[in-house]
Amino acid sequence: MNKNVFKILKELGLLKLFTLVLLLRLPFDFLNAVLSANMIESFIRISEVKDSVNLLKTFGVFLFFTFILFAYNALIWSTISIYADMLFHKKLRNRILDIMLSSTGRDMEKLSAGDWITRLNNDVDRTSDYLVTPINFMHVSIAAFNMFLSSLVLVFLNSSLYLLTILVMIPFFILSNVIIIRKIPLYRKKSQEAYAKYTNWMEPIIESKEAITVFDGQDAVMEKVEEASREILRNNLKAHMLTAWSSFFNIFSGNLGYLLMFIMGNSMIGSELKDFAELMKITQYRAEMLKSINVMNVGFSNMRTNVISAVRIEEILNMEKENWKKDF
Amino acid sequence: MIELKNLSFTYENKEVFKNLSLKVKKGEKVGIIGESGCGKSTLLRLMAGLYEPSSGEMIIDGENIPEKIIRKVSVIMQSPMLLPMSIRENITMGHEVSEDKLKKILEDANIKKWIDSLPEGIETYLGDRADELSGGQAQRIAIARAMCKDTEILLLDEPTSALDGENAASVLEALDRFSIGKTVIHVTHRKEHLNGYDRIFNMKDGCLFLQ
Amino acid sequence: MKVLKILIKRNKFWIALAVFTALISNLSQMFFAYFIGELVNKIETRDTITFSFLAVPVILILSNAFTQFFNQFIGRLSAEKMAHTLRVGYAKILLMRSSKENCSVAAAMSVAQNELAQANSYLGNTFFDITGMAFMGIIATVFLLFQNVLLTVILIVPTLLILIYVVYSSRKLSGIVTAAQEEKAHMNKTAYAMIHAFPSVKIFGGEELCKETYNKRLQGWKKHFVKLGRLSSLYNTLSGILSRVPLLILFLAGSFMVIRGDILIGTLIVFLILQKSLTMAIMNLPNWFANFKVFTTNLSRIDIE
Repeated sequence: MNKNVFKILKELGLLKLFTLVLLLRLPFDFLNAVLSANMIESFIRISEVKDSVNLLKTFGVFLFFTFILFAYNALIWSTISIYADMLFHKKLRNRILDIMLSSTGRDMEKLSAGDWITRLNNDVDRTSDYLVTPINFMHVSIAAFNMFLSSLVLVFLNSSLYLLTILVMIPFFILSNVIIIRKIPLYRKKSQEAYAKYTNWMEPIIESKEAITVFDGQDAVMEKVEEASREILRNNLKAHMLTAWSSFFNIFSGNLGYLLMFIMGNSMIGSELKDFAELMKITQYRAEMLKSINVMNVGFSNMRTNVISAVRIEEILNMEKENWKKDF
Repeated sequence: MIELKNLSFTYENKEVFKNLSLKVKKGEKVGIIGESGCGKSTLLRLMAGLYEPSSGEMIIDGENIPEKIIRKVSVIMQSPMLLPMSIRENITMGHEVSEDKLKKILEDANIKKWIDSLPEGIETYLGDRADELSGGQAQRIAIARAMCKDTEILLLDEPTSALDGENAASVLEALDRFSIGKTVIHVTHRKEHLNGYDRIFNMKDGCLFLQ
Repeated sequence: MKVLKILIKRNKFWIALAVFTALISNLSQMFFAYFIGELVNKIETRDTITFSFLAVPVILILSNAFTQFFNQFIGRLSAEKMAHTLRVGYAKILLMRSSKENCSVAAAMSVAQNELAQANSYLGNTFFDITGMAFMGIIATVFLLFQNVLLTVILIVPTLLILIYVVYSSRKLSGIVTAAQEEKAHMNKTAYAMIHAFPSVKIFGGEELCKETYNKRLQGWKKHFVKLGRLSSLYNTLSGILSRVPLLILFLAGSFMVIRGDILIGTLIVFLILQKSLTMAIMNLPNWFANFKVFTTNLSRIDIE
């Protein structure tokens, strides 16, 4: 977890609660992976050996376990997870408001009205997104847990095919996540700054509208607003270009690995692999590893974007500490 | 009552004024005029405890710390700065005020008649409807708020600049009634609003010149 | 919807290009799935896999990567162009409105910080993902019909039932989403007014009153927020279970057909690969519907010139 988000949680006294939520939600993806892999293996084997007797029974067993697993997830989500998120919003918004209202006029003027409201609203939302919304910290942790256990299962099932998976996956993961995705937060940050500049135009547009109209300044003002908006567009596009490249490498490595696994697995059937059904089970664990790595890949990018908001919130929380120090 | 000793103030690396000194006695009415951007509003905000001076000393009603000064003054600004709450809450700011006192304040601020005509009276919510108020009505609510706080020192920052002639006259009349016996600092660019003031200063290049 | 129509009309070239790249990218992926099915049939029949046979899937891997790259970039570019049109159009209407229709700075800032910011984020991050998924769903269905009509129908019928459920649940959610949005807008307007009136708040000691007022708004929002979260979790879970059902039915019917000799395992694998895309799309449909509803609700609060 990012140190800023950690500090915010600690300061709000919510660290234990979020740890509990995380621990409770952690096994979902892996249990789902085990269920899916065994389901594929069972049905393909039934098809291969033409075992029509066990077909309906297998269907019933997997339907039952699916229901149990999803019901567990819903229970955790709808009770403790929602409660933790709500508490986070309430406590953090109130804390920022407290700091705002206890600051001096000069401290208030350090930020524009737009900037204050962004921190009180958007930045709190983004920090909450970092913690709980899909493909952020929570999902990344669940995916990492799934990745680790799926890898262990794969090593146990067939170490050669595990090695193949890793050899195809790792170089592209490094290329995609470490080299390409790394720059995205910078453009996101620039885009957020450009958005603040754009919103700062609202006040003069409304307050000075008559003057702008009387002195025929609409075109000049709109040119400035358009430039501010174009700045958002430019930075977002730079980020999207990097995402597209990342997607290119992910698709390439994913498809290549799938094809190679079938070719290599084909040569192992009868020796290292029992049958095609077992190969399909292995491809499912590989798919889970890929899915997890993709979730982690996108999740890290989203987390980096949302962390900018956590940093901005930390600035506000530190403002209070600096004032406190000044008083003594 | 108000004493500024060698006061300097720098804002965004720009020196607004340097070594400024001023003494205002209890009950004295002082006007400050000057061109836009000369720093007169900044001086008023300093005296209100909203800013801290860069150097020098500032004693307002016996207090020299901004956090304490803020409790000793009332300010009426160009914008009435109303909040999305009821008229009552905008006037009392959540503090306990007796109904009799509130009634008198509304009468003195020339808004009782208007408030009584509203379906929900003083409990009328000024949320999105704050924009529907006239400038005069909004400014009179701000005056009522200042009356409610009832401090010895009243600071006025161009309270009528956004109003038309008739409204401005009515607001000034309410302010005159309210400021009897109080120490007043009135910042404006219109000298005619300072009739009857004890001293009038012109602010130029960060210095105060007696007129 | 009026604003959405304007956004689409003003950016029709980019949108058409995005649709075209999405089509090409999806078709490339379909053919790759088809060749994987052929490969599985060769494995099952212990047939020799020649280099010339593998050349096609290798070309398709490259094609998948390149078309996906263009699909991602062009799709998001067109969405960003729409967001730009929205931002500029909103500022323009604020400037062009007559004084009588004037809105307050607090209201305009609230729109810019909430509705406009969220619509921007939706256009930049979600809009073309939804369109892409819808496209994938349609193309996959047509493609699967060519593979085996009966198995496709067996797959589609429960999927359609889930869709009906999703539409029902998202309708239930949309009312709460709107209410939560409105409460949040009130909350932000209150906060903005407090920031704007900060000197008065400090001078007249209104800090406690401000906190109290903000908290009243926060409580109102909290009520809808919790309700929305609980219902979303319930609907998403049901949707998750239901979306597993078509896969189980596909296995049940597909295995039965393989046992009877109606289809080969390779065909079942093609269905399995493409069904995953459909399932993933359906599993997230309640969220997407809710997000689209938030997006259109946000747009309905924004006027553009």
